[in-house]
Amino acid sequence: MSGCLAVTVVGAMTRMQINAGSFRDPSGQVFERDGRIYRSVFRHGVKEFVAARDAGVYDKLIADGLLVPHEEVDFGDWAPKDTVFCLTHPRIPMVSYPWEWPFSMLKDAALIHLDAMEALMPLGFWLRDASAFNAQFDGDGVCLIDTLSVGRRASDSPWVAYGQFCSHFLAPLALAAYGDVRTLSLWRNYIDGYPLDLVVRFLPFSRRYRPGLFMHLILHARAQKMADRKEDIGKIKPVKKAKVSDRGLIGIVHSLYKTIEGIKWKRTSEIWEEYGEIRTYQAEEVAKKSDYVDKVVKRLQPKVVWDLGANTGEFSLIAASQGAFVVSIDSDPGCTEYLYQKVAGDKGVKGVLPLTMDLANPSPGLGWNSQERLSLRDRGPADLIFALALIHHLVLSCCVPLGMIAEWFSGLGEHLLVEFIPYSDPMVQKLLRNRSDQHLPYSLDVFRSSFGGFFDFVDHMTLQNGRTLYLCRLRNR
Amino acid sequence: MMLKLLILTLCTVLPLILVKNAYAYIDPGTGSMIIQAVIAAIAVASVSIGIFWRRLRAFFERLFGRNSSGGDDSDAN
Repeated sequence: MSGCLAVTVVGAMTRMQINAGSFRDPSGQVFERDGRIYRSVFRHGVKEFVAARDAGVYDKLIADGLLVPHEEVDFGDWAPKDTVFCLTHPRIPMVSYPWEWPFSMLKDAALIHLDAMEALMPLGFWLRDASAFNAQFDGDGVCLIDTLSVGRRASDSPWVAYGQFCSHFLAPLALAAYGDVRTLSLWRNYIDGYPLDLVVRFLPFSRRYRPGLFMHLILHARAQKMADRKEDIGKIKPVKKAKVSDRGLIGIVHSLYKTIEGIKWKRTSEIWEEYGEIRTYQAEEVAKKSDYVDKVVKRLQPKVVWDLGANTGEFSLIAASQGAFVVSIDSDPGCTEYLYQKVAGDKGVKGVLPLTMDLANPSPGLGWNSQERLSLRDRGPADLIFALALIHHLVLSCCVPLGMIAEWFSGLGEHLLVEFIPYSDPMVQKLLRNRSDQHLPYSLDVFRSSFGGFFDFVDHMTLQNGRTLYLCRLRNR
Repeated sequence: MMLKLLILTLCTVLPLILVKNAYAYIDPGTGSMIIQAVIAAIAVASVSIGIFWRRLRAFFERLFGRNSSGGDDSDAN
């Protein structure tokens, strides 16, 4: 997690940076030092940590691939005060957030929480929280990253994280599948999960009375509203504790599992997938472009590639096949979902992370002090950026001048592979259908001078149809 | 007067101390806790009904199964 600066503490020898999003849990804190990720377990969290460790719970979860592995390490003055145990974790190549995830990624994040509960309950443990931010994707599937989220099950108590699970997972998935998939971007607004009553309002009638959603969404929303009403500030009465047995808890988790599994989104946007079929250039040209991309990746051997405007990910897959970790960004949720389905599962390609994002309005810094969750830019830089068949959209549809686009790229990565599509190209003409002359300057000259201000042109290749791919390297200032 | 003040303070402070959940740092929400009791009851009941239903069906299958296989045996004999 590069660039997660919040508090920089000058420790004994080297600086220690506390992760900007790690402050809510009194049991521990995540920080970074010397390029490694550490987690402090504070006194408050020792009991649960030791109980889980000694019961072999951590070993089981890690072996099952449900929880990120950790190692206990010695620590010095550089660790936060009150540290009792210090753990180290492998680094996630790219942190991503629920407002960026394609539909099925959010669904898989939900299911892994329930899988973890299934594994924990027979051992007398459970998850103390069910936050979407506890799940991360490392290019090889989803796993939980909050080791301290595991705790002992308080006997007879209802699941403390149930409310959070429903608002973080059930509500957004239901609204996306049965309302519109674009509502997934509401996550940027409702950063601690969707209000249940908001989602219920938009749920179609035909879905409301199916047992799963009826119980966990509709009844749940009503219960929340009722409980709110009853808690008048003037009179605080001790609430009679609700009781849930072990069998009841298992029943709830099973019910949630069936409900989540049953929320299916029918992808209707095939516009961009058909793009592959109605390509305006020949198969030969496509092959040439693919070969060039492959050559560039082989030459640069990047560790991290950002494919901006990835569409259905064909070039992302080329980079991933060379061992790079590829972040595939596209604004069409249908495309990112398609790519995720392709790479997920055992037979999928490793190392591809599809994210939904409008590049003219990329993920901003959000949360507390607008720094708790990092902007796209703060999670960079990448080693190589792909901007294939992208910039004509940014100039002509989003109306961003080429100079500003070049400046933006210069802050994102060291190398850039950008495709310039000439004015005469049918795809460009299509964008100008209703506008003809009323657009920002767009020509090869303007492109070369804008990008030449930030980059050196290392190599290029022109296709038969006039499109040119330029390999650029950031100029050191 | 002092007694009233003491009782008021206790009534305000005590529930906040006693109802403290040592195992949660997020607010589980009163409504969410209550509804789980209801849902758990439904879930357990539906599992029990499912088991009962399966046993009932197995019973009838055995009953009618035995009849038809018994009939065949006697025919063969």
